Amino acid sequence: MSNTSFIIFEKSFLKRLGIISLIKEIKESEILGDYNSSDRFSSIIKNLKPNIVIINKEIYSNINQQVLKNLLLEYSFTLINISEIKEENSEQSDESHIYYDEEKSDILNKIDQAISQIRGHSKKKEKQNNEISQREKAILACVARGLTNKEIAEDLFISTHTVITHRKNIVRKLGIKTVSGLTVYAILNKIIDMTDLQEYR
Amino acid sequence: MQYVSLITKEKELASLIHSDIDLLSLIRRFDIRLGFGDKSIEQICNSKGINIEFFLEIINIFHNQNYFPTAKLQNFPISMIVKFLKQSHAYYNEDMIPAIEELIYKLEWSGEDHERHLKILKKFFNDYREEVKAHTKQEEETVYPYTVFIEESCMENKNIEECYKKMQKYSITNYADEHNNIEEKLTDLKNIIIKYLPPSENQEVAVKILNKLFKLEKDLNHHAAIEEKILVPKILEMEKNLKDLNSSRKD
Repeated sequence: MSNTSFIIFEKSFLKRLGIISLIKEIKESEILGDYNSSDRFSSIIKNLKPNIVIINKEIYSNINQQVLKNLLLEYSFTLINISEIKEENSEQSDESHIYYDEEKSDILNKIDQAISQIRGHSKKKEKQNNEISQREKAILACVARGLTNKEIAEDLFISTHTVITHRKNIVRKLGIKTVSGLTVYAILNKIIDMTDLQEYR
Repeated sequence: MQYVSLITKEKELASLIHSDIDLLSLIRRFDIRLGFGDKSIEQICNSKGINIEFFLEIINIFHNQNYFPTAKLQNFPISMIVKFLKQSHAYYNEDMIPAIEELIYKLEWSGEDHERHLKILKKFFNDYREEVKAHTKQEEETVYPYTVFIEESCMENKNIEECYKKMQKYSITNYADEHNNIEEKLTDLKNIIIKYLPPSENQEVAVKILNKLFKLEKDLNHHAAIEEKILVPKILEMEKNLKDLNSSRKD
């Protein structure tokens, strides 16, 4: 899973510093940049492609709303507004909003929420094929038996290129890189019998 | 931008350990023993003949996640860096890895599975232990002595011929290319225990193993960074100078 990236727009240096140090506490997060005005807003977004933009209300109001809309559509980042006080009957109830007088835990909760929303989107796409297919199982068994890519290709009547692609997918799905690690997985999941392997006898 | 507060030489060693217990295994590598009293880092380093600047940089790297002053570290002599790296090897091979191995032997599963699972894990870890041993041995017997020799010759401007001969046989670029990743098996083991191994009866042992694996991994990452970002570039530059020197001689 890649890091969640942030960009911060905040006028006050001290507040910017505060937000930065808070985000640094969040695991797997990175800050792509911090700015004190909306100058070059479009090009910053286009070039850095952040996941989350934390932006001060005043700076936010300086940005052309049509431009912002188009950017949101094209680069699909999440906006978090930050401002002084809660305005009663605020119109942007669906957007995340943090306030300067909030406690650390509240602010972190809101940021976490935004992160898990983003992760949720990308996870759905990945989840679909994290199961090891029959073909991949056959290849795993060969890998555990210590066969080379060329030997596997000959055994299964496929090209070496296909074997390599399968192996890459197996590593990605299982999170196991080494041959000995893959062998352990294959034995644990009864893809191969321990007695078939010389070194386990 | 980095916002870290660095540990300074005035800091009392005892209070440092209170604030970061992980540093204890690190200062052991400098042969510092418990029972510090109220002594500061400076006092202890002085009494032990440890280079204070080097000691501070090393503990700051391990203490602050984002701190790695490449340029500053490259100022220390190779022999000093290598001595530390060797001590780290000893810590991995003689302390950390045997401790993890011992814990693996304590894992228990119910019924027939016990023997099977233990056999698989033992085999895997055995391979890992041997891999680390071979890796560290190769570094200590070939790579480190080579770097020390090159540095010494460059500093004292002697043995240039011999240096050049050695360089033709072995260059630090070989090392940089081959520096194989001993972390890979470690990451696999973490995943095997967290995701794939059926739960053992004594979960507390599995948790202890994982804690140690994460600690070892973090240490190895720092170790590799020192080798790849300090040792390799330093020697690369010296090799380049030696090459220039050699070709200018021939002209």
